Amino acid sequence: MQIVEKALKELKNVMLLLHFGSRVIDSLLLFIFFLLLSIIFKFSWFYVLIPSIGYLIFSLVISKVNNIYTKVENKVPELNEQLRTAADNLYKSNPVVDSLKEDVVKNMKKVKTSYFINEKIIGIKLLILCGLSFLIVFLSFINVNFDFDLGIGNETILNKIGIRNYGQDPVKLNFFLSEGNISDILGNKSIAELGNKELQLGIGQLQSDADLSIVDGESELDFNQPNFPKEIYTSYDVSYNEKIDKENQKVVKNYFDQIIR
Amino acid sequence: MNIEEIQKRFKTLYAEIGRSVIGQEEVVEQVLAGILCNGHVYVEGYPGLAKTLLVKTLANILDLRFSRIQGTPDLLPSDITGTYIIDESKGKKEFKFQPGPIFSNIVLVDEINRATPKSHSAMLEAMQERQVTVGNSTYKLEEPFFVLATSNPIELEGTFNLSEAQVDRFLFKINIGYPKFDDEIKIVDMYADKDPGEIKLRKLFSKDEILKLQMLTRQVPVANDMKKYAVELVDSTRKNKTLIEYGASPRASINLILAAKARAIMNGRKYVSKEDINVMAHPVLRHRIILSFEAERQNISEDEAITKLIKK
Repeated sequence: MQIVEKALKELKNVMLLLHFGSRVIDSLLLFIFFLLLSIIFKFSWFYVLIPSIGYLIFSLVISKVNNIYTKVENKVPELNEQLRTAADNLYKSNPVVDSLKEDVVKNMKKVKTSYFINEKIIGIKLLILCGLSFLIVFLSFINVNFDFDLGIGNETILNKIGIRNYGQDPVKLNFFLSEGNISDILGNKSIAELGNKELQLGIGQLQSDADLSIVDGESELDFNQPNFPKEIYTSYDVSYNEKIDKENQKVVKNYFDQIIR
Repeated sequence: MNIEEIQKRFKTLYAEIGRSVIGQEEVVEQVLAGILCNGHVYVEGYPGLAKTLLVKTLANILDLRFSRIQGTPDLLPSDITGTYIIDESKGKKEFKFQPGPIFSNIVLVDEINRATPKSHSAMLEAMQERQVTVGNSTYKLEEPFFVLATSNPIELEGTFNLSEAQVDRFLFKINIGYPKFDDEIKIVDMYADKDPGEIKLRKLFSKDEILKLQMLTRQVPVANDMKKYAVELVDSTRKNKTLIEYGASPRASINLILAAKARAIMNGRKYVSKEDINVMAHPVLRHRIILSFEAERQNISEDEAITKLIKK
């Protein structure tokens, strides 16, 4: 690869990177702004992503970096009209073109990245970014609630796509998909819409045989002494396959049945 | 020969020409550009504006053979191209080709519009093909070959104007005007006191160097957007029917780029700029467009029409 070709490629890459960086900062600004709105107006974070990602894609794909060389030439007068000419005649070779390429490579050393960065505008954008971020953190900390609910919360989207958020009440999910009438079990649907008012709930006792109000004291049981019948005993020299008398076999069987009960 | 050296030598050339031809810098630049482009130039101007002097001066400085053809109604093609004559120098009669005045490096055709159309075609064939056919033989013309044809815009009675197709073959049409007042004072000082033949001019370029310069001119690179700009300008001459009835052909686009390259190299640049195209647009296009009735009614000249197209 020729030196001038490498130099032009590097220049193009740097300009594209600067363009991309600028668009990323703009889309971050947009994201932060919409995030602030989502906190104030209580709508889903999902809606915050759409404009910022959309803007990033649009600005990168639709508004391509055209006339990179013209932009460079405007900042560096020594390269005026030479850069484009050298770039368009990269693969030609004759004494005049070769001499032009040498001049372009020499003059490209005068190109500085700082020429294409508007420090003032970037500083302002970063300040706005910091300001909005601080505002978001502050509003979240003091838990500001402006009582604006646009009614486009998590449930609307997520229910439709069948995804459940952590901690969400499972009763509310896919209600309409269940078969049969479960209102007898869960109660009337209209009652479930309680609104924002505080409820006083009381839990009734369950109907069962056990009376939980009666609490006896503890009875001490000695588990160290086994409560085996006297006729049964174990010894170490009795093997597993040793014959046991028929009378004793019945006792052993009954014993184990009683324990199971 | 590098480009910086070429620029210095051209500056010296302008100074040397200035010793003989006072003023008319634009005309001198355009004639030199015509030589570098290996084209031919059509100069229109009143008598006594140093058209012949300029060409003779150039021929002296560039060390090129010069010849002059005076356009008259009785001019025959053979007067231009040459003819066979009977040669008895070897003791027997034989036909020998006697080359005409066209067999020079720089040919001045004075008042070409006074010559007959038949002479025009003989001249134009030589200009286009750079060769002359006489009988069954073809004779190549020596390079560099440059024709400067002149015409007088007044006294048009009995003249045969070149057709648009014939005029299109000239690279430039240069309008030579009266010199500035200060320049005319210098002219009087110089030529009223001494004979123009007394001015000794230095030879600054050789024939080979001219040929090399012509080659270098074609090698000057052009950016794509400059080419696009030049073609758009020529195309606008075809589309703007308010000003121009008939626009320029693609030959104009080629010649415009070539002329811009020549101007770039004369100014020591290795690239063509937009200014080169704008400056050269006038001599390249003015003889290739026919103004509309509306433009003529408003007394708009070809140059004014071209200026309006450039500004758009």
